[in-house]
Amino acid sequence: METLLRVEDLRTQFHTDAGLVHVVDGVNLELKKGEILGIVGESGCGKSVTSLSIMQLLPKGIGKVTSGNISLEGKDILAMSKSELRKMRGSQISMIFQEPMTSLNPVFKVGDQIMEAIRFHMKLSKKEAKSYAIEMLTKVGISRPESVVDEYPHQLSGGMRQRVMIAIAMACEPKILIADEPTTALDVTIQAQILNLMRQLQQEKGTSIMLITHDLGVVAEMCDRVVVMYAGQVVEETDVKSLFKNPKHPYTKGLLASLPQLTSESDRLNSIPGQVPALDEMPVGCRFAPRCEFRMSVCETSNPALLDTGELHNCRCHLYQEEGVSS
Amino acid sequence: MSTLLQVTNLKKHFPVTKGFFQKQVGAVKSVDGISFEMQEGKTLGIVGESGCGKSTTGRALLRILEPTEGEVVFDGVNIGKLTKDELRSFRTNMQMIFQDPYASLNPRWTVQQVLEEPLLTHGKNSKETIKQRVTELMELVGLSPQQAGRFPHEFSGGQRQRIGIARAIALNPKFIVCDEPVSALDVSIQAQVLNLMKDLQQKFSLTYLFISHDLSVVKFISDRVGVMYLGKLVELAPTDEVFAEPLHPYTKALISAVPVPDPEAKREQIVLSGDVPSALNPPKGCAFHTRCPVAMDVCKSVVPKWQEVSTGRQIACHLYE
Repeated sequence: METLLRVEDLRTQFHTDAGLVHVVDGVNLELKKGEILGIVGESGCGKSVTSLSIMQLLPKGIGKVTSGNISLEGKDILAMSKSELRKMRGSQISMIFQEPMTSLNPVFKVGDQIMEAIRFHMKLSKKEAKSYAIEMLTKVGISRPESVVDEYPHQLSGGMRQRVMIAIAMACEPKILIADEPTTALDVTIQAQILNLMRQLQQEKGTSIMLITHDLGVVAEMCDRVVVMYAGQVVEETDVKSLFKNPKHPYTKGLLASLPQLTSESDRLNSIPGQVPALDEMPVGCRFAPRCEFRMSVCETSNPALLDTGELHNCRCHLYQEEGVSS
Repeated sequence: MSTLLQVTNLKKHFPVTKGFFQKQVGAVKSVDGISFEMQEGKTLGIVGESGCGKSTTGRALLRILEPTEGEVVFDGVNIGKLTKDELRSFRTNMQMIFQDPYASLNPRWTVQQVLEEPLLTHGKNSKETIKQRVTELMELVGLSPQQAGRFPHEFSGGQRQRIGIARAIALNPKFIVCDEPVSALDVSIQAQVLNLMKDLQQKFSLTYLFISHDLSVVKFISDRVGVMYLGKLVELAPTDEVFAEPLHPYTKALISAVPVPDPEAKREQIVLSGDVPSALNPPKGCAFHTRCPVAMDVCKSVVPKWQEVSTGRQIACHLYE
């Protein structure tokens, strides 16, 4: 399968009270055509910053990509001018955010917000754009699209707002959709509706989706391939089945074991002791070492590389360094 | 096993007013006539989607919100009849753990102050005993007593929730309302806090009302589960039975909608259409009939009765009448 988006050794830096810190530290990613790639990790692991770096939407003056490459079908995103970026966003890569209320503008009608992207990228007249907007709203399953186009975001429920966000994101038929926790703010029954909708659109249009989430259940249900991130680095990368059946990295194992499950009967959860290290106090060796139950002396001094342990299963851990071949 | 808490026909309506004279034009029926009882030392989980009235129920039980109607009997005492002063001292028996550990701790107070306050307010303890108790509480929840002089912002989310738990158990309460205590936490931290809550329950035979929207968490911690929809309980049963064989169509849909962390699991998903209707103007008859996949004609006009279908299992649905 052909690779659409390639991120190589991405390092993103943020100015914080504690000084300059690398929130994303050497991330490699590949998004292939038509696949759903899951990015999982806990808060602060850098999953959202990775996506903002790809979109070049990092907060100005605070965050900045310091090194690495991001290429979209061979074109270097980091070298693009402002107007090129404007053309790329929305038509080639678009994004949905976690909180649909804060990402829609409260003072503009829903229809105007969908039409903005359509008119900019597709050069349609106002009238054509409006009918196209209504068509998009119908596609995302909004029941009375003709009246919803003239309503304001506050008049809609959370699920409907997220549908509107998806309509905006999908309007110009982008090749890549980045969904940053698209269902976290929604109730489970609404979450099921939205996930179904995303899967259906993906199948119809062949869009590649980068799904960022902390919910392993959502990952299992939606994704083809998964990248697990911890403290700004990729610690494991594999297809979804091997991740759940045969997780390799101790962090992934711990994460899976700490999930309360609907199907299991247990009295205790296996939790990972301790907590994610602060960004300015990263350990010298493996970043997970202070919490790891398989910790060895080598873990405290050197950070393992992300290696292929066979069958495209990458893992960043000293336990697998011998069997792995440098990738 | 004895009954600790008996709730009968609890209602909490919020008035909707209009115009200069604040004329009441309607009411948001957040909690609309629910009845249940709670056994000592056990956990009752309450699940439901946002706006179904689960948090309001928890608050109405403790009279943080004054109930509109209904009776709450705690250990033989009718809480609704207590005067303000009586209620204040009675609160030592009933505590609450809040959802947001960032917002529920005073940022200007050290942990020491947070944990001291209930001990100072209730009972005349000497400085020495208070200090000792604070140390003991911090150790109980897995924090180091050396951190007592720190402020909330110096702790992570999970640690803050531990402080919230320590505060809640400071006065040895019998009953704790836990309102989404782990929703703001990451999974690995969530597991630590859930384990801690279970340990404390065993140690002090605490009774929990555990409110959450996350079914897998509720399944882990609860002995019995109540499912709420638009201010009403629709099903109440022992945890194993609810998850093995849900009866109410809403419970079925809710359970089937939870994503399972197993890519090879095959299951039939019931996807409900539409949104939860507004509590200001709930549908007539069974409130769920607008989204119910098996709605019948009778559901549109008659409110289903809350009845026992088997031992310890109650449900409100016309299918089982």
